[in-house]
Amino acid sequence: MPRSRVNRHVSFALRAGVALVFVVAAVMKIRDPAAFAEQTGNYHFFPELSNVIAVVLPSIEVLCALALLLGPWRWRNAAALTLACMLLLFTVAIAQAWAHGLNLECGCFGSGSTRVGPWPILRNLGLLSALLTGLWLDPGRRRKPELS
Amino acid sequence: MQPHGSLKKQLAATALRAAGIVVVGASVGIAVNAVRPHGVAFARYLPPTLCAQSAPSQEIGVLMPQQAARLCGDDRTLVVDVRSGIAFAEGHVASAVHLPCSGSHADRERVRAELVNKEALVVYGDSEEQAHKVASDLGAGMGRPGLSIAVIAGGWRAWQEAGLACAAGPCDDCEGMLSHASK
Repeated sequence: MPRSRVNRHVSFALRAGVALVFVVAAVMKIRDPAAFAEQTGNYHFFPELSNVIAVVLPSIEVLCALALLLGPWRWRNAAALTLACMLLLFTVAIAQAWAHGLNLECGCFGSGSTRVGPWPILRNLGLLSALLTGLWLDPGRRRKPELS
Repeated sequence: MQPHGSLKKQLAATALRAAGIVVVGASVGIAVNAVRPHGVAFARYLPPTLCAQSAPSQEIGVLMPQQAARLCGDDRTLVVDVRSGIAFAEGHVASAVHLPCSGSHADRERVRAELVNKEALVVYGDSEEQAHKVASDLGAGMGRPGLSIAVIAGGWRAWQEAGLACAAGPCDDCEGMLSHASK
């Protein structure tokens, strides 16, 4: 099998994996927005915005996942950029809560999520690596820019 | 290799598309929240306070102020004051940590983090009932069957009336009191 074809398949698999995780996470949050708002507020990161975040974040996650999986490559890039920023932000929030010894639910998958600690941080970094690798191997990246 | 200007343009276009995704996603989220029957209020979230909810049942002892005073200054005991911030500032059992009835779950988790290496938790407030609620909430879910939890009978008022040395400020007399208690 030619290398470019392997790359395409690996890229799709990685993007599909990341997209699936984000869709599942978003569905869990959408099911109980009040619980997610509370989890967001517990971080004390912009507590006054926790309801707004609980309302808008899951739908942004779903849209990014769809664009990452099904969108044209330009939109895949944009979705990957958005997801990467979100993952970094989540990781910083979890790390600071963990560093302060807070025993909070991370809220990554709505109510019943794991507690803040090394595991959600490693998972986020793994997702970020998969996202960037999938993007790097994406054949669309090597296309010449259109002249229009 | 792409020219520098072209790369810059591509990055700007990608960032613009990312912003578009965020705006559309946020709009969809707001619309869905507006039509769903149990959407959250689109205002500042106020977390439920510790005393506003029913605390799970928990085995909690009651200590007379003098008994509680023997534990004052003991490394294995955490004393928690559940009164208002103003009342706490005016005077409290020395070494007590403040976890008001109006505290959030996050405040509770901060205190729970301090409880990890303790063997006893003593809670007091303006009333026993107030202290009882917070003590139950703190103890529940800790998974620490060995942790003994108690409230001070009569609360802060009884502590003051007993004229105990640890009533306010630094707990200078606590060591003396502990050695006296152990005799």
